[in-house]
Amino acid sequence: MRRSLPMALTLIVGSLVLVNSFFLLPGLNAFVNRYVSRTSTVSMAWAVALGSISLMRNHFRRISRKAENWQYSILLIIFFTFFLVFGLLVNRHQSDPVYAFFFSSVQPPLSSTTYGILCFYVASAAYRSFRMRSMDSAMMMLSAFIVMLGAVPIGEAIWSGFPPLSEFVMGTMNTSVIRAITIGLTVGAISQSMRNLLGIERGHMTE
Amino acid sequence: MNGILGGWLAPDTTNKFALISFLYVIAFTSINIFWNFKARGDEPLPKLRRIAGLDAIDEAIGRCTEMGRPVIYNVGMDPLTPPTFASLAILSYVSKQVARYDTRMITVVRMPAVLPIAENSVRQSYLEAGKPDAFRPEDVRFMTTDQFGYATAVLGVTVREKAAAAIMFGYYLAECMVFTEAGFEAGAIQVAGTTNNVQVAFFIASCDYTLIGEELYVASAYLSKDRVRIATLITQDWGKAILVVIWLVGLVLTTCGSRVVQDLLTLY
Repeated sequence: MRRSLPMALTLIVGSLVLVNSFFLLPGLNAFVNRYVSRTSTVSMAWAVALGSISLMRNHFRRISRKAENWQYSILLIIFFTFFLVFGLLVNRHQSDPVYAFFFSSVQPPLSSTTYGILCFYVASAAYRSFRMRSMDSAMMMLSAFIVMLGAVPIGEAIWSGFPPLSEFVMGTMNTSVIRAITIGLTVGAISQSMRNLLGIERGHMTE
Repeated sequence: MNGILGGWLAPDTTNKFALISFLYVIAFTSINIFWNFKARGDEPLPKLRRIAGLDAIDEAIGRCTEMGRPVIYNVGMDPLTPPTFASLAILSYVSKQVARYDTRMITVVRMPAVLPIAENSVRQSYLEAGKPDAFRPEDVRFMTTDQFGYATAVLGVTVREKAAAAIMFGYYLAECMVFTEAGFEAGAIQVAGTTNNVQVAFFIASCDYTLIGEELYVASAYLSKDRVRIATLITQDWGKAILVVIWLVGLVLTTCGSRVVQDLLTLY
């Protein structure tokens, strides 16, 4: 029952959504767009509550066990509680200056900082992988070399043929392969959805 | 065609491919049903080619068991979409293996909707392995929905817990390099696969094994060796064959100056 009920629900709701995307049946279209979509939104909202409980549970446990760097868990709980309580008290989060100040002064700069670190990570990964150990890595190195020199002014200064060659590698060679992979991915996604819909894929369900 | 179907087809008139998409889904389903029936019999099915990235999962778990260090399993960045379901299917396999070998696994989740499913999947695997008490709910962790907040949190967990293997399957964005560099710092063997073509190159450059494109979707059939799931892979190949035939015919006819294929594809 614990497995057959979700499977039956998946099949019914999935079939309704599938039919809705192909056919103009006013009753069904209205039902799916109004109720099924709303149910999905409400379920997601409940999931946020579950996620928050899980997060708090883990960090309270870290504090009680005095795990490594447990002090950061206290910080997390303080900020979480602050934004939760403050968010419930003010009506318009976006336009409230105090709420916006605390959010905009903390979250976006931290995100941007992490994003900025990516360039060093990319350089480090490129250094490790662009070693010509095999024919494959040599080809990867060569194409990366052409694309990089085609994208920077010094490349054009060395040889004016780098930008068009880089464009050929990206626009013709790369795009054709990416499109082939995309077609395979789309068919794979259909197959995965069908496995879910028909209950063939059920590793995530409980017995 | 609108006349034949009484104007029912294609509620969205901007989607000119509604009819051909619908026919494709019907053909795909029919082929799937046919192969499902064949798979339930004793007839031998076509052999699956070897996928090094999937074979490496057992190697990665074995390494963690020998070193006494945990596996980090990353479910991906998406909510409940096909790549996430593919990742959850692999999670089910990986958690069964770690339960069998008494190896610790930390599952990290970005989307709250994925959390209960991932937790359920891991719990179920421990139950099936006959070790329900070994399941630790705190090892299935929701971090945050924020992209780089999540990346930083996973980076911290990977380095602090000294993971010996990092397994990343699902949909990934620019933050994937943060995960893989953290894995490199921790000295972990890294296996990854994503459906985001842009990020595949980064995974190839920084991981030990990478699944490319649709290989992610074949994982559950490949790992389980279940005949019914393998039947869906055969359907997948037939589905691609149909597209290749349409593409070839279109190529020849378009080169000859005919628009028959384009007109058929956009008929609704």
